[in-house]
Amino acid sequence: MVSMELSNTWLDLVLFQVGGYSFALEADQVISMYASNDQLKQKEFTFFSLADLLMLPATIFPITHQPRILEIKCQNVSLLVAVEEPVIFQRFRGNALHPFPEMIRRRLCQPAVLALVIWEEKLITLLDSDGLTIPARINESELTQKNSFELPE
Amino acid sequence: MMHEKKVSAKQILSFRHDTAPRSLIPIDEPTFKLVIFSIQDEFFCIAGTHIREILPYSTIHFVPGCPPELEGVINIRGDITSVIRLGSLLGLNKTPITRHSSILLGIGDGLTSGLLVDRMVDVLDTPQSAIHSPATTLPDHLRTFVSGVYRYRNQAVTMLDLDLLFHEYLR
Repeated sequence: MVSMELSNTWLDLVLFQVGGYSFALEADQVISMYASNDQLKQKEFTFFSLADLLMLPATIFPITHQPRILEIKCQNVSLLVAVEEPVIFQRFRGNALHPFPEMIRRRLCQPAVLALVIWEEKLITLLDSDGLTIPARINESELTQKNSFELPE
Repeated sequence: MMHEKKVSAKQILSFRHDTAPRSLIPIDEPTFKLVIFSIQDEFFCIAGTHIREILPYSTIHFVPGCPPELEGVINIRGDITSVIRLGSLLGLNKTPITRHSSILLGIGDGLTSGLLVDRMVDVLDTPQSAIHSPATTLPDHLRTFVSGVYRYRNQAVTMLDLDLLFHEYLR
């Protein structure tokens, strides 16, 4: 990449919380957000927990309050992930994005964990939804079928 | 009295000063800083040249997908730094965080990382000769990165080589 002044760049992120931890996804990886399960009750969907998709024990990121449901892109399918309020759309300057320190980069074994964002003195983990792991118990045909719904108006 | 000579008190004192036994420790022996800390009840130290800063414990941001000994990251005035639980690298059991817990900002093998320890003990200057060779009975997992032993208040302090420690950890 040619050198550029990071403060002259920007990116749009969707910020959310899970189990008290702060995460972000690039806005173009988030297709839609549903306020509650009610908006999706016409059809049967498979909801995933972020812990599942990051291959972590469910106890690490328990959903504690006011769940929201994000529909996110994951490679060639879309997934519904339960997250917590608040879900915030925020534009950041490029220099708010920080790569992980070398020690973390060399030991990290989770392709969905991309970088860190500093926002209001808080650290937020930026995820790459294409790197998430769809649990093996869900087969692909089921996944595609259950997620091929029409977005609400 | 024969052969006796009257002298002044100052002359006697001057003579005694000149013939006083000299200290056996050369005063110009180079010294270096040693950062001493404890994990569980064991004392460890690292050369001060490998410690950039000693920080009080602050909330560590968990990073999913890291091995358990990598606690996460902290924000030090805008710089993101990893934090390793040092006791885990030394084969010690995990200890709870207390108000005494500290993070040493360590430099080794070209890398910088925070090192979570149970308690800061002391920072002192010591001559190189005060560092002794590690015991031959040292457990195998420590042998690789222990560079010596220091005596501090009748307690053995194991000296760690941070270059080797980080190198081994990332190997």
